[in-house]
Amino acid sequence: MKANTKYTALEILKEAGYKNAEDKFGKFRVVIGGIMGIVKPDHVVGISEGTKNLEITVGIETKIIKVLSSKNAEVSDGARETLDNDGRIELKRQEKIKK
Amino acid sequence: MAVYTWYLQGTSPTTIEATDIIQFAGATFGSAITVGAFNDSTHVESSVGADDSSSNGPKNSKFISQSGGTGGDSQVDIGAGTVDLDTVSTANCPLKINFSDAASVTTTGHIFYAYDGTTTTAVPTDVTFYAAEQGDANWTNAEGSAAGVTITDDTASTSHDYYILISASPESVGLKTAFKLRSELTYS
Repeated sequence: MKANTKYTALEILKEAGYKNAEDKFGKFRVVIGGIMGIVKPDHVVGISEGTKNLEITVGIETKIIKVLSSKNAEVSDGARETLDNDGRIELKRQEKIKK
Repeated sequence: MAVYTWYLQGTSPTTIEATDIIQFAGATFGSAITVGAFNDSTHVESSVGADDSSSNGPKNSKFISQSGGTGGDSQVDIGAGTVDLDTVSTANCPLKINFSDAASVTTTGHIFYAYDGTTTTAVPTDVTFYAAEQGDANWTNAEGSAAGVTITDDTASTSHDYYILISASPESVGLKTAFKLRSELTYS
């Protein structure tokens, strides 16, 4: 994982080694890098520039993963899919307003 | 104490002070945009009407289409022709907002939008406004707080940078002043 990059919560949990990661959301407390209240696997999280270690808590288990530095802002494949979906939702909203 | 700093990016950044104006214009500072067209340039105008960004080569993002790009992506012109919105780099986003705090904090629930300058839920008067966070596939018609662009939650840090593309179009003739930009976030 790289800093200055957007990932989905699911990608981050998988990277941290949680098995059946998709089943954790909504059933366990999920905290990623201090962000609480994560209940959806497609929740997009930006890993702040300069981050070296990312702390992930699921339920009462906490894991820390190493984060590589990155000067360029990037978007993971999973986060790209979520952002594309969000874009389609926005298009529908605008079409409704036009009608 | 938390500090917000806004910049108009360019060859050098121009800090946007609290009393400054972000000016959307035609080709040059102070020039009009045709009704229904979008900004060809963006500037920082001081409270006394001076062009504060004149020597900084300010960036500009011009709305081209909502879904005419690759796979339904929005399109933008950042000065070198039309490209997909999600290909624009952070350095080419006109607006950079830095949020910092003495403590390492997360930022969540962050939205960015335009309003009429009085009521945050109200749309700007006679202006069509689009915005997007760097990496977004589509523009958001970010008029009023209910329609704000969702900015990605950021993990804990003492400093957070947000890169935003902005574009505006007049719906009638005349200077538009009932038109302000606003960022709202929760930090903890």
